[in-house]
Amino acid sequence: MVTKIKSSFRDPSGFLFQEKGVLYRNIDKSYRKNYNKMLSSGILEEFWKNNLLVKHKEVGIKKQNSSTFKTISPEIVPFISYPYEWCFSQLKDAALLTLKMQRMALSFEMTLKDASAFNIQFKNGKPIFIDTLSFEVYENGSPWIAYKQFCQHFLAPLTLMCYQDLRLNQLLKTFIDGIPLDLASSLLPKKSYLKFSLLTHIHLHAKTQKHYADKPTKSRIARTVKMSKNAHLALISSLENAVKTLKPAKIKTEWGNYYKKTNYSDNSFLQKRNVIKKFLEKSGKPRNVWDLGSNTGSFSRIASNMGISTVSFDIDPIAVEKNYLLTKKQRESDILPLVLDLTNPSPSIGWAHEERISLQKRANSDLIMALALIHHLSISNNLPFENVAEYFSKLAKNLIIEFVPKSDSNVKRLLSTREDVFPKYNERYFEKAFSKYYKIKDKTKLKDSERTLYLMTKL
Amino acid sequence: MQSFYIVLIGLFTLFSADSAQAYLDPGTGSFIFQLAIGAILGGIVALKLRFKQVKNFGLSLFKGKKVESKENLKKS
Repeated sequence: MVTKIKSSFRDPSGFLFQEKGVLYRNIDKSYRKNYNKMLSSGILEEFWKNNLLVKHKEVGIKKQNSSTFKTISPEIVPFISYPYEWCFSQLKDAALLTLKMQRMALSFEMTLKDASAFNIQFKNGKPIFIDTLSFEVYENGSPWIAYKQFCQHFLAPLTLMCYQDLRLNQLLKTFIDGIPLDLASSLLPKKSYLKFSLLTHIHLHAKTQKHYADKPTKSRIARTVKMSKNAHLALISSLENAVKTLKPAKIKTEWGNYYKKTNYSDNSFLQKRNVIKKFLEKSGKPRNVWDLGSNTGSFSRIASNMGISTVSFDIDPIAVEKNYLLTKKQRESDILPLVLDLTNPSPSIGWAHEERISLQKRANSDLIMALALIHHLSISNNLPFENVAEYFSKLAKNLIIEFVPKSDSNVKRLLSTREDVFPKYNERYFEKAFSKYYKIKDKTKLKDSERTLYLMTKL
Repeated sequence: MQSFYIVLIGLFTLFSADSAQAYLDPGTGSFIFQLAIGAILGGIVALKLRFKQVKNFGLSLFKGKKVESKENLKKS
């Protein structure tokens, strides 16, 4: 069965589709000149050599129509993530990769025709460009068509995350083609005007957009105005400097220091690690694991160190930032830290709700880990155990879950400021509710703790 | 702000010719702004380069004199 990937409708150069689990990209005849230039100039080889662009192989033409030039089969990325699920440094690295590729493209007399953050994915711990058809032949004197898109997709959210709040990349969920610059400009503090790169690329840029919003002057200017390559390169350098100097806003978050103030003893921490490892082995060593509420990924790394492709989700952008920086430092390839509010997971968005797909539709893991999470869902968010069990069972076949009883100090803290309206929050009801969807395969009580770890498999 | 747009319009007269073809709309304001800021940034880079050349030339003259004076000292 052939399934067309709905997000690839914007660019007429080609489209993506899947057949029997294999990903294909049809290249349109209108892109022939550009594709041939990619091959003849050596740019494709250079990108591949440096692991900057996903590799592909040419295959026999599929789904042929009168305008099909070629069919290629690109490598699959283990998990598709979106910029509103990235931490600050992930978005920053994606921005710098985009600029690096534009600089390289110019040296091969080519240019990037778009600068969408959705063209970047994370593979083997590093950002990688996934849209092979984004490069076109550079025409001498042409400006960077994707300049506005770069500012909206990268510079605006990064600047807001730096100057205001790390959570502001969530605006990309609402504004699918990047944060409008007038909005970014109005949300930024006045001190951002003092920085030349932000004064120009955000504030004056937004004001110029507003000034020309109702003036149809572009076609005349496009016909008459050139931009030298040196000016083009200077623009890229200026954007690079602007991005490089941005640092994440320092906000005190709830979970950033979790492991420093936890009530675990060293013994029970070590035992927990050993039990999780045993459960992972017992579940048949899954190919993909999702760790929900992973904090800085301490337990995710048990799976990733076993060579299991692991997505390490947490609601706290600081924890995810720490996790990602550790991933980079240790050059880990099997772990992908992402920001996720599980009580409001990423929805399907864009045209016909099909451009960027929901978390549930992207579920590809064999096992979910939900460690020290149930009290946050059931007490802080009032979710009955049945609802949690039902949703988890839709995401993966196997589950490693930790039950945290009311006697635990962390649960006591959650209940200290509110009325306890959870008479059924106990181990017996927990097991009963989860048994509707799962078979409990194993159960281990943690020493020096009130907590219990379960291994379950879907009925 | 008015003077900024006068500068923009003035910059257009410095350039000449080709159309851009793309599926992405670069946006009128962004397009115009990019040409202006590109010209300014490109100009700054060119000036820095020229300044560096002049500086290096000056330094080489100075170094030359220094070597010469040392040689003179040795001779005397």
